[in-house]
Amino acid sequence: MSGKKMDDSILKIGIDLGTSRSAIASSDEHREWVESYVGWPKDFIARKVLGKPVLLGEQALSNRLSLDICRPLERGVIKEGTTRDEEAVKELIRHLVNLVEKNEDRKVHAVVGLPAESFTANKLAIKRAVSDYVDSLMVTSEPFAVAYGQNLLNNAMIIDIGAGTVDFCIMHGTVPSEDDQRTVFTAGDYIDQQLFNALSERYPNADFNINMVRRFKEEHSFVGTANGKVEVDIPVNGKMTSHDITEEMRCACESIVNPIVETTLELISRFDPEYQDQIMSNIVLSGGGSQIRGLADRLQQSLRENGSCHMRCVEDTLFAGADGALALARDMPEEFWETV
Amino acid sequence: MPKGTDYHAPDRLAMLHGVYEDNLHLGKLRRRRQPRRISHSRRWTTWALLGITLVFGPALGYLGPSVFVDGQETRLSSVLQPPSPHPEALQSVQTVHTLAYSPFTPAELDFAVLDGPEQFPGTESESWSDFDMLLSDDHPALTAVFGLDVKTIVIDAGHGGTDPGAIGAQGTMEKDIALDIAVRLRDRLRSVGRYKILMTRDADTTLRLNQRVEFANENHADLFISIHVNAFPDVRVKTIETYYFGAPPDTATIELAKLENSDSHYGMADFKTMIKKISHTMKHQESVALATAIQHSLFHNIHKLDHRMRSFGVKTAPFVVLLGVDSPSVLTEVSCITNVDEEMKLNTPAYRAKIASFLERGIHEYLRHKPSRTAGDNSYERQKNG
Repeated sequence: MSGKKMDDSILKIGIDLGTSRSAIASSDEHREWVESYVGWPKDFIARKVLGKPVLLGEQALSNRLSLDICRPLERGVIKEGTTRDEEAVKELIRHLVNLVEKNEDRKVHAVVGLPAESFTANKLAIKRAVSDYVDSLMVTSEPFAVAYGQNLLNNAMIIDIGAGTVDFCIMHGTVPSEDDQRTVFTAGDYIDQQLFNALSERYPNADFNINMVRRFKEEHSFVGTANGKVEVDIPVNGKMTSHDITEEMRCACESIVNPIVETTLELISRFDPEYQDQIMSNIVLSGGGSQIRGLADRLQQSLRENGSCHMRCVEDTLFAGADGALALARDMPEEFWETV
Repeated sequence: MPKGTDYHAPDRLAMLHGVYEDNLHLGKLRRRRQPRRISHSRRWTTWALLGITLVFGPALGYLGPSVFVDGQETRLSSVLQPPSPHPEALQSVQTVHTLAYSPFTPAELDFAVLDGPEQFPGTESESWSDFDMLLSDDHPALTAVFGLDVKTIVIDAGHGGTDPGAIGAQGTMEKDIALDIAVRLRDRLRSVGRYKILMTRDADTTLRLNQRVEFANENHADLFISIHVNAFPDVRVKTIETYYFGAPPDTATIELAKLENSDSHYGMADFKTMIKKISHTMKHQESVALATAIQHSLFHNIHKLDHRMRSFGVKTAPFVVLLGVDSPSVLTEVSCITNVDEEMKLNTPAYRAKIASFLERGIHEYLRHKPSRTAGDNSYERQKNG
């Protein structure tokens, strides 16, 4: 925590805008998260039934049949760049800020974490969406925010496995440049799609959708050896039926291992050879994907074929990004906020 | 958050400053990209004055009329007059860049209001044909002069359906790799949010070359990018090359063009009409620049991953898709499927994702430089190829 005297007239917040979940942490010690879904009632009847002009997160998901539902941050950036998606991001931000800030008189200074290789246009779109609800704003790369929050500033590597992207970032005592960062898309959503395809092939009569598949993954994901059978209930001709999805789950989850290993090695091999060992010994996994059972061990095992390697996961995957962004917001000198 | 962290260590302050500077840069970008609008009546006045100036300007002795787009000035003289040895005149060429952020497509061309003549040193004694100058290679690219923007990008995944394209030793088909990379490129470009991105095919369907061309033209493509994977009899070869339409430099390229054109379904009459388009200067200028940017991005980045990768550079070839499409168009051979090492890599999603990201970077690079480029900007091309 900063030893700086905090200005009570300003609330500092850190936001991790994720494809699947978005989290916020504030200098008032509030931490909240929401599923990154936004829905608008389809017609006036739905509007009357739901009693709200817009629904977010779990509420939106559970009422999705009455809503035009939107998951605006596909692959970690504003999807399609349409007005509607920007509007949805605005609603998400408004909701998150309202969760932690009740005092409208206070100024809000925010740092928002974005995927490592976000293009300028996306950063600007996110800035536009956020700027209505905060007084001053900075954007930074998600894995850098995690590294900053975890005090991993030198000779370390962060691998942030999200739903839309896996972000890689090497820290070497300075702000990481473009060459120190990578984003690949073989992340959580990719696993969902692989699992969906495999289950469609194996159980052609089973009736399921991608949301159900996502839930199966969140409950049962694993790589390597299974802890018993993975069985889920899926309707067949309207009747709930138990299905064994162990092999499909393993294959889908393991599909992200090679891309992560390849990208890790590629990024490290471009780094100063004298420090490559140190980075290999200090790799930290964050993001929801790091919770896949056995993934850290499997990655570590694969990377050890190229030398010693130590890998660990952050303690709080849900809030690591938001906490890091908050740490940046807290430490940012006041004059920087004013100028930006 | 870890306890006992010293947030006041000097490297932290340097990092905070770095984050601040990145954001400062973003703020500047946002201000520069404010859209500009020109009234309808001004447009007609502009066109009339521009026409008069282009035709009668030299005869009337107009040496340096200025052009305004929403208060930003540029010198039309830099377009109409031959290059001056004087640096003052060169500066006037650079001011044309201000037109580059015009939000209009060729179809909505907006131009400027001319004001009075202005003297430029070293220009009065030289005569120059008006349109020749505009079409010559030593002057600002036409898209920059007219402030044209890119709105629609058509991505063409080569081959497909019954036409597998080249096939690797392990059975990998060019059509599948091209489609996967094209879809990834589409998704990446769409996420930028500034462009309408269309694909000639988004599934494993058979599509003749003329259908691809018609699709691009009917949808008013501003850029057309055709994605292919190369094949060579020598399996050791691994190379990247990018083409725009033009005469083939060697027999190998003629052979490649024969292969890629084999299913064109165009008649001789169609072909004659299309050949006329070779004189489409703007398309030529922009195709060269786009091909250069894409080739540079692909090779520069892939070479970092694999030092054995070679660049065959930016080349001309008579591919039908490049000839028929009205807009700037390029065909890129992103890899070599006949090289076993490359084929293995092409089978990994990570490598295909990288290729798509490098293609995207090349396109962005082209779009970033579009405002400031001169038509025959060889230095830029040399630098990128170098």
